[in-house]
Amino acid sequence: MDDFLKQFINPYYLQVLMLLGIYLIAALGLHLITGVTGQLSFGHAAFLSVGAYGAALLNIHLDLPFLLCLLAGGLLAALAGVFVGFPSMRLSGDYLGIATLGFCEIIRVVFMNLEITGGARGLAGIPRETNLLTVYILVILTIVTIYRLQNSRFGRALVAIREDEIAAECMGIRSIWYKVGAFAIGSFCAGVAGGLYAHMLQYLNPADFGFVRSFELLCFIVLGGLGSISGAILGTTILTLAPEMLRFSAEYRMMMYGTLMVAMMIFRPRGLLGGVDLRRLIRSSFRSRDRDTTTPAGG
Amino acid sequence: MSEVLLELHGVTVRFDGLTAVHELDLNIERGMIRALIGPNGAGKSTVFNVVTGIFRPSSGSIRFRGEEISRLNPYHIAARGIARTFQNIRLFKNASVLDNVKVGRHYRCRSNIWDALLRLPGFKAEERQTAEASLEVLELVGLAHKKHELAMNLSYGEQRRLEIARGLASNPVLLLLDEPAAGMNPQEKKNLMRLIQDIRDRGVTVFLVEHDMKFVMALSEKITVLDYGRKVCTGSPTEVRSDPRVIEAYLGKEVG
Amino acid sequence: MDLQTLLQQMINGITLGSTYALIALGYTMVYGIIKLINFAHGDVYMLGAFVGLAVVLMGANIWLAIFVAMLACLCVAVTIERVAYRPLRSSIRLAPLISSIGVSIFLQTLMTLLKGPQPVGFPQVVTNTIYTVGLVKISTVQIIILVVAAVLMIGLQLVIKRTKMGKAMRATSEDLRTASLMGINVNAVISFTFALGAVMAAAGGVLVGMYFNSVFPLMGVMAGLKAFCAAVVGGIGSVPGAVLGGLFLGVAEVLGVAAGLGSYRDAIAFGLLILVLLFRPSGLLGQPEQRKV
Ligand SMILES: Nc1ncnc2c1ncn2[C@@H]1O[C@H](COP(=O)(O)OP(=O)(O)OP(=O)(O)O)[C@@H](O)[C@H]1O
Ligand SMILES: [Mg+2]
Repeated sequence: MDDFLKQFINPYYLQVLMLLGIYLIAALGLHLITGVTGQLSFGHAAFLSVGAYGAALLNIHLDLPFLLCLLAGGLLAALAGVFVGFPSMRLSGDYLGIATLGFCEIIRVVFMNLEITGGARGLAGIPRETNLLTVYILVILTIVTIYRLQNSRFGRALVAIREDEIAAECMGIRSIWYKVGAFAIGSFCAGVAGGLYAHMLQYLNPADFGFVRSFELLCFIVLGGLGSISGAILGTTILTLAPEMLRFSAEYRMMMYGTLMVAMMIFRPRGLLGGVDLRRLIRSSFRSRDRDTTTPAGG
Repeated sequence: MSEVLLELHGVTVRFDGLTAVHELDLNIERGMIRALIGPNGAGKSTVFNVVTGIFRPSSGSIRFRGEEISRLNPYHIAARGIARTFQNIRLFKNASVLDNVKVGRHYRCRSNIWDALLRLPGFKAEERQTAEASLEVLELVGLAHKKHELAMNLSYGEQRRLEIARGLASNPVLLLLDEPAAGMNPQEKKNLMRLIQDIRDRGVTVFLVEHDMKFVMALSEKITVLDYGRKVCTGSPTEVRSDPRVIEAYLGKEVG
Repeated sequence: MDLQTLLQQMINGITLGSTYALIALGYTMVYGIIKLINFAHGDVYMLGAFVGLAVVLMGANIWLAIFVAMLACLCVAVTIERVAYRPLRSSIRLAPLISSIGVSIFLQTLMTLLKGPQPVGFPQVVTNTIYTVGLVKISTVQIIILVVAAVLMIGLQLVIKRTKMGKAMRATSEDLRTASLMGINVNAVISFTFALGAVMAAAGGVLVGMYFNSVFPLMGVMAGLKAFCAAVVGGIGSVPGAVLGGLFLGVAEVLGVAAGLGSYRDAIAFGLLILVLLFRPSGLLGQPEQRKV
């Protein structure tokens, strides 16, 4: 499939598109944690790295099939999410963010020092298994998963916790389970994304998974509009593709990126889609159409 | 005599230094509209918080249908059939009115993550039932037409009613209302009064805190007066109204 | 580790820790007042180091370099607050945070464009004599760092405790709304807080440049993050806490490295951060939060 596409698309763009899909999966995971459940996480990149190294090592050393490696990477990341989540649940707001930042940096330093991960030199020799089709099938799967979760008893409980944890507990919601659950699922997404990333680049370096990457993911979901799936998708797409569109040197590009972030926050502090509810928009447009059609008949 | 639903015995709540509730004894009988009144800072909300497990009492026991609940967490207590509203409205502001009520049905439902993902018929049936039950409660409080509105966009009085609906959605045995009439105009208060009576007639015991004396006197069957965390007296509206200790407790303070 | 090494490492740790403390003060004061984790603060520190370097290269002495760096960073920080944070004061909590990350990226890339990504050497500005005091050795540079840091921290404490502006700062950090109702010019107080923090960080930047003989555009990232940890460990919002936290993390890091944990150097601060958060979430000197219903 990719070979076929390569005839039409420049391989560089192919890579960018795959990267976009990978970021979408990871960002949707963070969306569940931070956007839906309201738990601030500054450490999402760490789960990405757990999945990436986990999947890559399983592939290299045990020669497991690719999809199994992805799944295992996701599960390892989910485990890390639970591990980080449980103690952190005593904390809230900024303090939770800071603790996850701390965990994220510790995990990075550990990967930097382990023998098996290649240390600071990085891990090379990962087979290239990721292709555009796999990535986007998984993107769609993630969107459906997150959408279904959000629109269920589980998802409503998460939103209740975000909005008012005390009131939620008085409605019978055992908030710690739900928060850890959200962390686990969100980290699972990051882990799968990490596995895809590893098998796309074929090389991993701990430095790629520092807190800067975590903040990047956070920016994706906040800029699009925190709390909505479409916002997370839009934000990720814009912020991933924008630097590719800005055809300057890398430094100028980053400078504009920084400026863009400040400007977007100032002009749309709730995100691009903040306050826009797509479902409501659609519903109301239907309703007005109903009215348009019924009024003449009824009147 | 009817069954005692909730029984507080010697309940004391201390916040470092300050005793908010002191050795309180209180019984709530099934099927009543019961009121707790007292001047500002008397400890009324604290009683609610300790009954719903938000605070642990420093000493004393709280029994609900015979079971000791003073060591339980809020979600356990909710599951035993106690629902509540808050003095400073705590709705899920950025969720729709309907979703707010659906959350109220949380522990009445069973579906888990896998059901949500696979959407098997059982899940769909439960969701449908949740929606129906929630709509019915919204109907009761007169908010069904606003079900898609965000909770934050409701007027003050509507928000208070939505909180009641959210509490009712779980089919509680006991409903605690913390100043439900606060900030309402006379017409809204009248409607609210009828609503609370309706709720009682559906078999839900109501325990309420309220500053509006006319409201309390007209509605409740039995009233307890609290002052500085201590019980002043308990009795019918007429008894309470004529009790000199009550007048003293309120003297120089606001009266409804 | 024998006693001599231990004492020696303590001196080195306190020196490093006092530079963390200088940066941590800015984080803690700003968080105390507007509840913002100002991620651009580490980059203000980096700017301070570069300005100091430029002044030194023009032939001035270290004192003038520190002074000019302070002035420059003061202007930069006040401008950042005015442009990137003030318009966001009433929006969702994450908005100013994201904005501060944007500013941080901007400043880092700006300096990378101007000076290149590689470390720039910081010339030796003082004759670095090594004194032996009892068992331990201490260098002129270390003495300068300790003295400057101590003077600045005492000065800061005086400003906060004795001046009208300091009182306004404390009132504002208690409760911003009430303070503004009482007629305090909250905007001025916030600008002043950013200015104070920047001044401390700028001095820290020049001192670190002098200590490690190098300055680079990303130097504010790790140092800023660790200083931020220091602020949290000490109890965010507490000025003495930031100093204590800075010294604590500095000493822990140096001792950790001496104990053979060199390759885990950057994890030490975060490990301590998590331990403190789990067992004393409000930090060593912070006030515990009350749960209000
Ligand atoms: N979480 C808390 N920490 C410390 N003190 C508290 C806390 N909650 C309540 N108090 C104190 O306990 C006392 C009783 O408060 P409570 O809210 O129960 O009064 P109330 O009777 O509900 O008053 P109001 O009519 O004003 O609502 C007050 O002095 C209050 O300041
Ligand atoms: Mg009250």
